[in-house]
Amino acid sequence: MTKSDQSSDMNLLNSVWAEFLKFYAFRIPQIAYASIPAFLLLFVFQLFYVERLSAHLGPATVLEALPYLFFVSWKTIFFQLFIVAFSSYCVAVDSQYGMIRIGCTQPVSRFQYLLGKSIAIELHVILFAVVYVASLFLWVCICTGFRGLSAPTATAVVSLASRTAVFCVALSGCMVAVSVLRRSLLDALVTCCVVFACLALLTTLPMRFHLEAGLFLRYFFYPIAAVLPKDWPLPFPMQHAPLWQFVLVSFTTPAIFFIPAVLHFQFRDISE
Amino acid sequence: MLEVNALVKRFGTCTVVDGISFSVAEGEVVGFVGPNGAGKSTTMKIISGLLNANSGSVTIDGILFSDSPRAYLGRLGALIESPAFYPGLNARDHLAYLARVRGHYSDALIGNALNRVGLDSDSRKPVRKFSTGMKQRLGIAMAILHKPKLLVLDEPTNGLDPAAIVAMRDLIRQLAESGTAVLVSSHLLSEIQRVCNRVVFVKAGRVARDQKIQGDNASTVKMFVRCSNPAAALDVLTKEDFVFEVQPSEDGLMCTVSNQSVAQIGIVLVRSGLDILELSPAKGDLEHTYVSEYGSGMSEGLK
Repeated sequence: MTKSDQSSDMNLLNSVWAEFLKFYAFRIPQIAYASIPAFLLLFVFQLFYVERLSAHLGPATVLEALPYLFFVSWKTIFFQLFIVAFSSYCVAVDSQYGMIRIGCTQPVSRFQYLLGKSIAIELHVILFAVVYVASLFLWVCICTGFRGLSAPTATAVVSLASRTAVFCVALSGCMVAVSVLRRSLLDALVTCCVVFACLALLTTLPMRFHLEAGLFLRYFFYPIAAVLPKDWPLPFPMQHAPLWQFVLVSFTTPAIFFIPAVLHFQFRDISE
Repeated sequence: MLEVNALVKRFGTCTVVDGISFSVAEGEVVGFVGPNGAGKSTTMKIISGLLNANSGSVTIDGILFSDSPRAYLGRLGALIESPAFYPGLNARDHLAYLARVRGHYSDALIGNALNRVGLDSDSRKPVRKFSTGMKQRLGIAMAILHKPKLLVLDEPTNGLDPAAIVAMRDLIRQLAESGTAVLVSSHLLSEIQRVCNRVVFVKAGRVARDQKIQGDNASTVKMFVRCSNPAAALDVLTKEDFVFEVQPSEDGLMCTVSNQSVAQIGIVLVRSGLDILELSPAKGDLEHTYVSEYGSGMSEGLK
């Protein structure tokens, strides 16, 4: 075994680290870290100064106000669309500019190349989700005067961040897999949006198919359950599903997309 | 180092590479020459692991790509077709990315690669602001970053200015001297002739000819002599020790002499009372071979 063969054992970690820093060098993450709190400020302004939420809730605690801000910002799907766009961009940019020729002549197998890239993207997505929830928390704290901060509040916020991260990683995983099948940025973006719409349309399947527990976007509002009071009057789909079920669906849905993507990428000619 | 054996590649019903076989030894620079569509780039892509061959095999250091892609690609550096970049990243970012993938990141390694291609002063500039030549140089830096055992260069002189072409030639020679096997394709036959030890001519997906050539680094040089009395000149030059070979050509003489003895040709001919009408390096050996192999192409069509 030569020196280069031995060093290749570390290739997946090297690949993940190289891709992670490369995406960072694209400057999209830095822009996102600055934009997410600014973007949420619009919803803060709407809720607390236009809709006068504080007047409706009375002297609300952080945990009482947080679900409202999460709900209004989450349902606009701007954040999810950003995740979709980021994931598809990070994959398709290689084919778009021919860098896939460089990537695939490095000493990593095609599978490792794809896996390294996917993990690096997911790490960024986790950071985006954490920044998103942290920004929500920060704005709510400011607007409620840090009222009701306690250990259970912190636990609920951490739970919200974890669930949001799992949801975003699963969504991103689907989009990464779909983008692997495309060879230009525009193709990848359009296909990802179509797949996102299709996943949403699947939630309208009649109940007689008994598929609702396995449909990923039925768990769209699952993260919010971490911060909702038990007597919340409006039920969200799958809000009370067990955590393992949410995690399982969040794992299997991208895996279903990844199988054809990996098989296709493993054997395809790199002709870009 | 590189062994290509009976390689076949089909796209649908079109056979682009049809049983190509050749080899490149350690420290050897081999030119890969042929007209557009002959199968050069496709062969180079198969060697680089980007395309899957329908049949045949490629080994680097005896390693098949299918047996160990990581070991195979670990020995390879490639610049295939036009260099590829992320427009928003700078030269240093690109090299850092590749160095990290291989687990060999260091500022010195990157600085050395940038220095070798003369991009150290522009290393922080986004690649979208690079000229074609600068992009080409960065592509080469990316290919040689990890000191590969086999370097595959597809049209490396595209877009380079004359000074950069000379630098590229020197770089290829240095790499060959350090033991790197180099496979280089180019339409600039004069460059191929200068830098390569051997040329593989490809025609319709097959090796049409595999010939050794003389470069600038050879100890002998071929000269063309045209004078007032070719028969007398032939007699004079045949008797000289410094002339290794002399043959009548269409309108003069072709003689092979040592590099140091070129001026001697003129001296002995003048001393013999012959008028020299032309004494020049026999340029275009490769062009003649190329034209005889492929025809003069478009110029014939224009006639």
